[in-house]
Amino acid sequence: MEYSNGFPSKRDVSLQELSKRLDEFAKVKGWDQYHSPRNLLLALVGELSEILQWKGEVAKGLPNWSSDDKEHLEEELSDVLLYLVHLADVCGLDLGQAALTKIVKNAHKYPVTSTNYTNNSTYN
Amino acid sequence: MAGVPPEAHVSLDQLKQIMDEFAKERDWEQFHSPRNLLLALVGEVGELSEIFQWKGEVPKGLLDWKEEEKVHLGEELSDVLLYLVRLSDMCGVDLGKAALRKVQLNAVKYPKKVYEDPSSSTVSPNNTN
Repeated sequence: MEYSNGFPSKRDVSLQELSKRLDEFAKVKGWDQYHSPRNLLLALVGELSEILQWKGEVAKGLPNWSSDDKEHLEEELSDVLLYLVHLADVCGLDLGQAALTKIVKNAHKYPVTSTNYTNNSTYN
Repeated sequence: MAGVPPEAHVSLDQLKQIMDEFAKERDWEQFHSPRNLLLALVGEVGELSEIFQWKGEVPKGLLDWKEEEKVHLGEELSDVLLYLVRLSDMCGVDLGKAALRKVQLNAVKYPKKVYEDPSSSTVSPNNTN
């Protein structure tokens, strides 16, 4: 695990790694007794409600946001992810594998049409 | 995507790139503003909630669930994840880095439990905020 100043440097983060660290975290603190599927789902919903609250419409990349606001958003998005990863774990599901499978299913559900490619070419 | 090794580690950056390509191919980028994606994410969490809605409390590992129920759950969890990944990307947030940082901060915020301490039995499952 590469860290600089105690925090991870930029590199790919796998769902499996997050899963392992969350499991260790819950066990060490004796919290796994509370981490039933429905408890984790409700915790996730609670975190979700805090994202982008009172912000109105925002542009991509969040121009004009202060560092503090961006950091707060990063924490909220992280919390949703961490609860989601842990929820999948306690349900005995491989979230990464399920995600790749769903992407394939979505690709079939929403096929790429030649019209899309034509539209795309106008942006080149 | 076919032929992905079952034990492959799936990275958040990998999912981010796939979702970016997916949106570009279908000319969906114009719709992917942060608030649109957030509301789509909320909708997917609603669908995820529906799966647990009438089941009462369920044990870890989902004993007694049918295989098709588990597959459906995997799909809904995946939809939540994919929208979360896309939302983070559109906000310019490195989700993997942010998540590792949060795990690190939580470890500092909630130090290791001292098992010998009898009062530790009263520990409550604090929110990760």
